[in-house]
Amino acid sequence: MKFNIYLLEFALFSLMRKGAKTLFVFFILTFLIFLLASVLFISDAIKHELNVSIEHLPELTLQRLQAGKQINVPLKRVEPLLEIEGVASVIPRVWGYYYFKVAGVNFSVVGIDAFEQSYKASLQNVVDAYDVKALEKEGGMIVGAGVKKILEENYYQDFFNFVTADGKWKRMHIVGSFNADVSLQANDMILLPKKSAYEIFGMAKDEATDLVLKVKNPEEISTIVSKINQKYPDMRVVTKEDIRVSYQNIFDYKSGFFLSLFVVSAFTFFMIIYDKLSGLSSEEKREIGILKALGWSMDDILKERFYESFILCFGAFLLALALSMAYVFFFDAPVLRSLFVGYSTLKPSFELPFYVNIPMIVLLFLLSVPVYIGSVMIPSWRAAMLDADEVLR
Amino acid sequence: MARSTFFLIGFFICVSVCIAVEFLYLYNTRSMTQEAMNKKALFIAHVGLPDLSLVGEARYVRHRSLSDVFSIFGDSPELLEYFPSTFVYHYAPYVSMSGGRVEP
Repeated sequence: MKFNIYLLEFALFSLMRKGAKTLFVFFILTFLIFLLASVLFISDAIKHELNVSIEHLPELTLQRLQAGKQINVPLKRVEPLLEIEGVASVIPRVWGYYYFKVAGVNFSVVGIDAFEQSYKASLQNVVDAYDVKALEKEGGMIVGAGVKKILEENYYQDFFNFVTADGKWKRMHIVGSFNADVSLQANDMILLPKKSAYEIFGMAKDEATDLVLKVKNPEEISTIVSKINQKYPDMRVVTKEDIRVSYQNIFDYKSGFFLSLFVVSAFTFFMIIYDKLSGLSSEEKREIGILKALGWSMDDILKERFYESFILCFGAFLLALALSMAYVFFFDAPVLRSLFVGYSTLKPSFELPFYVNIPMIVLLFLLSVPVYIGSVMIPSWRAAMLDADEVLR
Repeated sequence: MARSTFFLIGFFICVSVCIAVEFLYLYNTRSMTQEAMNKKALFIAHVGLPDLSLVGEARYVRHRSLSDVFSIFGDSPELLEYFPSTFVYHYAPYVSMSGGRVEP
């Protein structure tokens, strides 16, 4: 197939002749592809962020359920769990929410064994300006960037008074804040010694929020899970694999905004296609008739239509891609961002890591460009099949 | 060649260059560095909690991987939806219903 520059020029002039209609279709296509690309860029970046951290999660998380609700786990269950073959360690965790009424936000409070030397050394790497000894001795805590900001706004510069479960004040000193690199994970987190967490939550000392298990051999996980289920039928076991699977459909397509966005855009897109397919206007038919009368072959007419539609939708596709990349990664997706971060006051910076999922872009291309070209070519082909005099008559 | 053809070629070249520059710039400045990955790994190893702090309105969206279908009851008897986050983030599939049966 020889490329004919004159046909391309004719296609371009034809597009310019149609003026407003061309511009309208171009802008609608650009907007639709931009919208879809932006949502997909954001959700892919979030999924990428989640998948990076999953490797370092404990293999099993054990929660105790009573009457369908999660309740605390007695610490006496730790020993029997350790006896199960293949279990490397069992760590009781103390964590939960602390509602800061003044600002109307929830902090995630996590208790750690601050006295362990290994903790101190490696914590240093993720915390800015952190005094190792302060965490245990002075009742210190490490806070996320969002927590620090909220506390500063409420005049808590270097300490915070927690109101414990029995109504007393528990003063904790801010000894450091988490590095900006972990801001998406740690924005609302407060890390403090376990004994302070027990005090704040008003939990019994012989209980934990949940247990995490480390397993030496991943092949043995299913056996260990069944043994735990036999031993403690009231405990729910969440495996790392479960969490990995859950990340795949974190934004469930059966419900949620993505469906609405996709339906709206796809519906509009198919409306355009339907409009195109439902028949050419008499003027367009006349144009094809005249071209045929002038000696154009069907092949030429189809080629010209192909160039015309390709210029329009490929241009829209490229422009939308450039715009959506800038919108998501340079401007941090204003408006669309609220879908993903909600309306809480404690918002992370939403500086998503740059991540491009090539199959996603290919899918976007296939959903837009060939479909549009097809919708233009099929009616043109129908008209071009007719005789010139029949079309003109 | 007509002037409009030059314009068309110019448009495609400009947009393509724009995408390439954007891509290279973002790849070099906003990609996750190995150092950042290590820090995230360290943090997760300490805290051991999955999920991002993107939404903090309720436990079942903040810690969705570890929540259950009934977590919403713990918040308020009025069953408030925290629109749009509770609408966008679906609870984890292993705590959802299958075949009309609620699996805790």
